[in-house]
Amino acid sequence: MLRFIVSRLSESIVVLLIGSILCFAFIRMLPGSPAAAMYGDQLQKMSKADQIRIAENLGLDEPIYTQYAKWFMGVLQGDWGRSYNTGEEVKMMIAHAVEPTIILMLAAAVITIVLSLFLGVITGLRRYSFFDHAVTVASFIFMSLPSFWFALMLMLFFSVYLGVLPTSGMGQGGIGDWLKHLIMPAFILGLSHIGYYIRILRNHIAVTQEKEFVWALQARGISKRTILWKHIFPNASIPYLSFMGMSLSLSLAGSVVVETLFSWPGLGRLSLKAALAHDYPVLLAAILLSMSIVIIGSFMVDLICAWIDPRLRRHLLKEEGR
Amino acid sequence: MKEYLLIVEDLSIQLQNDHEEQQLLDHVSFVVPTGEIVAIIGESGSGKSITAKAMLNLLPKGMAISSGKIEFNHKNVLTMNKKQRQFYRGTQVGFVFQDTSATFDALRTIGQHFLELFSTHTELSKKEVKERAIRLLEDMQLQNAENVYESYPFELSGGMRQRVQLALALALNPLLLIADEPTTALDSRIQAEVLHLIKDWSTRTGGSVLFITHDLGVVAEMADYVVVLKNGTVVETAPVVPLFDQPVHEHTKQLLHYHRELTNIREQLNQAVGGPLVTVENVGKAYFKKKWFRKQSIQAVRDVSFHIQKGEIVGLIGESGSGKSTLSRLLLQLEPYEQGKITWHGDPPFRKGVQWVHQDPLASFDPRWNVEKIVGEGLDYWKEKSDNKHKKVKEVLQKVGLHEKICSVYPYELSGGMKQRVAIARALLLEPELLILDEPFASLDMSSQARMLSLLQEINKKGKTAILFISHDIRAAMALCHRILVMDDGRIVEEANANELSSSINFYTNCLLSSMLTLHPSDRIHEKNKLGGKEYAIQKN
Amino acid sequence: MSEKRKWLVNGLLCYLLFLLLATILAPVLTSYDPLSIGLAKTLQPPSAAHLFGTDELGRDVLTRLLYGGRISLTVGAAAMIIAIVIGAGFGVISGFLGGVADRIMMRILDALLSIPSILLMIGIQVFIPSSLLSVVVIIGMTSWMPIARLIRTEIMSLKGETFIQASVVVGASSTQLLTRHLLPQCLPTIIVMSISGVSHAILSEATLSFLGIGIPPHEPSWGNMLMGAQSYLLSGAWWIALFPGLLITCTVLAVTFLGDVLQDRFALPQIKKGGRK
Repeated sequence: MLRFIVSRLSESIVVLLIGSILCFAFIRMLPGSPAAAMYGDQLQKMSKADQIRIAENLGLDEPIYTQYAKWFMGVLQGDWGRSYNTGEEVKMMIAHAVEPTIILMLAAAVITIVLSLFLGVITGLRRYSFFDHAVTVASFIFMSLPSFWFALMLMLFFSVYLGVLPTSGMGQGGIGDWLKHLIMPAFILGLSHIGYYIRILRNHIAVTQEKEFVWALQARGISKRTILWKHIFPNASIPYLSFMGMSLSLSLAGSVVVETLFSWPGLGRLSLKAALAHDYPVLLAAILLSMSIVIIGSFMVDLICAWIDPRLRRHLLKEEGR
Repeated sequence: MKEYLLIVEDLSIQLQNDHEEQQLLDHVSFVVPTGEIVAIIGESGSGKSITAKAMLNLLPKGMAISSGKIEFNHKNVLTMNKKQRQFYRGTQVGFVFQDTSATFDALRTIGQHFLELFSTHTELSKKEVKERAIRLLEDMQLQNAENVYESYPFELSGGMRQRVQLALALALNPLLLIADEPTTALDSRIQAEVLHLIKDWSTRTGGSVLFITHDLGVVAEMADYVVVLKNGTVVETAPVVPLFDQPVHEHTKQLLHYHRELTNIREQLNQAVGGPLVTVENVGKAYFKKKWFRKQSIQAVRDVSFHIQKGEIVGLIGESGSGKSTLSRLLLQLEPYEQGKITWHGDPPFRKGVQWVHQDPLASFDPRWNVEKIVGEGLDYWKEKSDNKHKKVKEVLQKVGLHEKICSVYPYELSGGMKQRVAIARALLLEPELLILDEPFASLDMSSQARMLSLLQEINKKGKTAILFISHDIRAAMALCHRILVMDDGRIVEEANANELSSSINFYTNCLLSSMLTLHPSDRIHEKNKLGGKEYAIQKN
Repeated sequence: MSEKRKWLVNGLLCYLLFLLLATILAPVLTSYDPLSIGLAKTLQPPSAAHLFGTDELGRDVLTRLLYGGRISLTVGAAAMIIAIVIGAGFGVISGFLGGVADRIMMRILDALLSIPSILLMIGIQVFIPSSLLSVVVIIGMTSWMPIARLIRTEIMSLKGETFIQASVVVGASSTQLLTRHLLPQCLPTIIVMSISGVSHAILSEATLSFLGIGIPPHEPSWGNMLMGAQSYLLSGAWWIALFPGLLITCTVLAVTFLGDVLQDRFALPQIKKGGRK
């Protein structure tokens, strides 16, 4: 297991490094040099010598890899620059936005997991029943629904028509108010990919059920319930879990839309606002952070998978060895 | 009067689909006397596996018992309630399958499998279970039983897994053991050991065995009574010795005929020696595995030298892991080799002159292609005229005994023997001088094996094609080959003419020879040390 | 395929065909101009004259839906083609080369995959002025990664198959292996992926336009018809938001279902024959 963790971790670090190189390339490709970004119009008015001095101060005369290394060290130490628009430190802006996003994502994850486990297991066990068909159709509908439009429709119903739920912000007073603000965005985010989760679990439960080892267990007189929860379910949960790892970036993308719609003060809304205002340092920080969240998340999911499935621990190592 | 542990009467099973209804078993009746071994023998499709599964009332979806009665120990199996059924399945009947890797939950250790079994049917504590399980595993002659107990199924070899399966089946001292082709996928030495374990258990505890197999050799070795099954009906039931001596039914006679043909040691030597075709000199091959930061090498083939003459049939015998498959892949240029030299003396190019028939023919066909495309593929790469192609494919199909009508058929629709013939046709199309056959009998019925044997001999005689026959089955090699190479642990340990091999003095070869199944039940000597290989295995580990 | 399934497939195909025809024949089907502003009749609820009502600038919603369909469907198809070409190319090269090249390419892919696609779209959007073309390029360039990964995995596992080695033995060269076995084997996956690519692209266009960074606002597309809808919705003009969204959902649903059916159809013949439903 230790070997698996080490090799998987080093892989994640490599991915993170490559990602940071891409981000660095991204800022370098932006119109205007970093100097221009810092001093704005003033730069044009300065003398040639001053311009060179500024470039030297910023380290622009050094080779590109040294610049990257310096930039990356700065990022690691929390030196993420200041917002072009407000002049606020990017670090602080991001820090304020992370918590609401995490709350929203966790709430959505709980909704997704609870519902998809329940529906996926039942439909997997009773394939081609009426209930299965109904859930399948519903899954496909949820796969096809644009989440922002779904949000609009829910707003129309719960906020305009019934008037029971608020449409924006996180609320100010008390846990009840906070929950009221949370419930709609969380459900929209949670349901946006639930169709895939249900289908994956259903299919794998159904396939595993017909494996020979299930037959062998029955032949040993093990009860059906034990076979389902101790054998079929763990086997079927591996693809389910790996999809969860992959869909982390999908739900972060979804949070951009949902947060914007509900004025939820999170990372997604911040990054969209920054992009629309061409506030690159904020946008870049948001991209870097989301990327890290996804990489760490999928690392943890892989660890869980390997913890469940001993073959995965070996498989990765074998692949490396070849 | 004899006590009957299991009585099956007029059992019929139907397959019901949306489209079709098919009778799989038709009024099958037989009995298993207490303490005896009953073998059900039949070709694939005879319904023998379904019979085994029906004994536990655990049929695959879509199949249903339409009539009949199964009585175990005076109780009707088909009318048991849930609790009785669990008790019956778990503690009174043990079950062993052929495919050992599919019968374990890959996510659970062997120990967890035992724990689950014991906790369902007994009140033992965890510690007691472990002690019992380890004792059982040791009874099955597994070394390092403690390690095995902690292992995951995929960490064990096929033979070890089969022993574990047996230990699980026998854990609660059942009255009946049902074994469905338990040794078909195993090396002959391990097969002999597993068979011995089953036999031993039966005599020790007085348990009965219902043994399902397609191999008359296993029947000769094991059974007291034999039930011959064909297309879902019982054609003959007899005690084992009379069955071998005076078979009554035509089908039984035929099976015995095939069996004799397959075990008949080839007498005539290769007269036409046409000079060397390929020489292999000191060839070695290693695979590398990275472990932390060190590279670990596994030597699959070590310093191997041999030659093949033109028009000769050479057998390469070895157990799984002996390096025989790696060696064949080196000869086929599918992998590079590090040491030594392989020289080709036939017509160049080497690539065209050496062709291959894989042990699993279906896997060696592109699933989207029909027979004509598969067989004709080689021509496309060697610049043959395309108007010729159809004719050539037809010719070569005829040569292997297939009708040209199957040109447009997809291989998955063919029987096992026919698939193998298609694979041979593809290889023959390029008129190779050397044909490499990798376990060609592995997935075949006895009748197809016998026909394949004569086909190969014909190909060899008519086309002067040399054949390298790779197998774990020493008897089949002796029936087919002129010369036999025995391989163990990456080395060739013996080289001998086929008819001289049986008097070999090599220790390893003798282990293999002594694990051969008896030809006739009256030759059975249980006191004979069939486990000659056992000490060897200990040495090796 | 069961009878029910056949009906479903035919129904879906009819719907998509009908939609396609309707958008092509938009000028014939409606007499309104999708762009002309009529301030006299803003925010009218559905009526005989305006079946789906009018929007905040007095434009006929049905007309804009039909014309918008042209853009949304074009984006769907064009972006899918870009994504498939890049994705399949990347996947095939990486899987076919194997070894170190494959490992480097896969880590790059991992990095790209871990950036939420919408942020990636926004990131690229910064460079190009928004237009129909830019939306197509952005969606295409940000959605090829899953395709690449899938194709690469498939090529890798195919490479280990016995029948590939059997072809090597009868004399196939690397390119022949690729063109005769590997690529045709991947084709079903590519087709299924391109169908799901269409739905993904339609959804992405809608989302981007809704957020105001997609198709320029004056041109109708299903997404940007919803752009201002939020504020009008709260004041009760539900028809502005309802119809475009319904149309997107139905179209994506039809395409997704079709992809699912096709995936079953492409299952290998022996599996189809195996009697599974």
